[in-house]
Amino acid sequence: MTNFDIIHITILEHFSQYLKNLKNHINFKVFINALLFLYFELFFKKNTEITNGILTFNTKKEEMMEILQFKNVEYKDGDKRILHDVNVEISKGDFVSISGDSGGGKTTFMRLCSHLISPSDGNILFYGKDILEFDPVFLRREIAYCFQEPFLFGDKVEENLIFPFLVRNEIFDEARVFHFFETFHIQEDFLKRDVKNLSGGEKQRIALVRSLLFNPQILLLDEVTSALDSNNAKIVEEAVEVFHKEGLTVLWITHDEEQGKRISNKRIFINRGTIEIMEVGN
Amino acid sequence: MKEQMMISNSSLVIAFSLVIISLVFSHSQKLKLEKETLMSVIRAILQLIAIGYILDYIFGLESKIFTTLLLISMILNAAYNAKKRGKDIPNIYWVSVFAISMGAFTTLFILVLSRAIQYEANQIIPISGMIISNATVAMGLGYKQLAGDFKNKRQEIETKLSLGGDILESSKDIIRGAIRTGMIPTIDAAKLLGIVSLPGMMTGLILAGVSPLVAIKYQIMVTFMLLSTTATSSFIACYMAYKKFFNDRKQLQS
Repeated sequence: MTNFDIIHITILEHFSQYLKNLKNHINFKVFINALLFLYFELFFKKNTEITNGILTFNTKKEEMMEILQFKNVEYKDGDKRILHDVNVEISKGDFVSISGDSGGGKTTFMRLCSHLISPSDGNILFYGKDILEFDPVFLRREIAYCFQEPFLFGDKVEENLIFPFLVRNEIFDEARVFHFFETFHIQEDFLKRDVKNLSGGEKQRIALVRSLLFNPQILLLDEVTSALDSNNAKIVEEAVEVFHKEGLTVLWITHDEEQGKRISNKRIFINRGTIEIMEVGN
Repeated sequence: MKEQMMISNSSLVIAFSLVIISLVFSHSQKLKLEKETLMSVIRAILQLIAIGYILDYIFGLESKIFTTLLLISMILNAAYNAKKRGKDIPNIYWVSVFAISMGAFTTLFILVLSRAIQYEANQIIPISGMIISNATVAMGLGYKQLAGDFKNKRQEIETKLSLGGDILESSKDIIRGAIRTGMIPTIDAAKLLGIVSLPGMMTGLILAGVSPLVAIKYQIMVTFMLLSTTATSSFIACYMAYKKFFNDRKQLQS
């Protein structure tokens, strides 16, 4: 939904409410509603309907909208073509597993999604709008990205969890962090621990909490469980599933074919710089 | 002031034997530094003779405009030298010019306002020389550190960008590190003052017959002004330079 739409809907809602109160002027109300209906249907091609005499947007169309779309995307690093002819559509709430040969372009694909790099050619759309029209910081807050090797900065775990609050000018909310800690089976005393004393699994789980604290719309995971033992991997998988059920769209690079089948409703195979196969359905 | 110490030309010629000692040493130890030592000594003599005559001429002019022009040319030259350390950073020359100017002018403004010095060639030029060269070294170190960190700490920066940080928030630790790196030599030098080192300027004043109690006052002023210029220049330079590592889509450039 664009800002333009949001403004229109807000005006419309207020206006409709106002019209509803004008009970004695039925004809006038019908007339105005018809005008608004024409305005949105014909000029902006928005799906509207009149229920109980109030004009509303048919939001089903919006829900169906692709959250992320790649259109003929190509990425070159100097002269080297890393990705080409990438066309993919990801719907809101999708759980996508991504696999393919190493060096095939999976990580580049993720970096394009999080706008850490821009395509050399083609377009990437977020809710149907070119990502170049969005502020990069806004985009990265909506599309969280967890690296294969988590990087925890500073000395204490705490610093990593304060950072997302700091950049949003918000006061550190310990309770919120602990709520996320619970989902990822992290004890509360980890907050004060030294970063350098953590195991790989602990680091990865803290990195995930750090990325999820402000409820992004999309979560990009780059082989986050491949270096973890089965216990840690299971905790991560289950926790991500919890957020997915709440509406989070997940893109997960995994080498583990079983894992891919188990968790995803869409499977993408990236090989030799492009999407070779795409399977839908679970 | 006591009777001023004068060095005669003949005593300088005798002092040249000190150079010969180093030449003999280099030759006997096969350091292969004879040619370089001789060249450096000749260069030093020629450069100093040239600057001696130039300064003598300029001080004689007593023109504030000319002093200012010389000050500007010193800044432009210094920025050119700082630029060499930050080769990979685009537009670094003008960043350096701005940073050094701000550092030098702030310091000079306070010194002149406090009547510690007067805006006259024989005071402004040597003092500017000291503060500008010090700031240039600090900025050069800062640029080197900045360029190195932006290359080696990509993961840290991109992690912070991914967490929704703006470019400043994502580079703050690196910027701080670069400013620190630039300032540490000046701070360390200040710590050693009097205990280990008697800086050139203070030694010069004492040799010229000034009482050590007066010389230290000058040295204290010099320490203050070096610290302020270095801090101001490094701060401005690093906070302007870091942006050059990102493109307009707030992506770290390779």
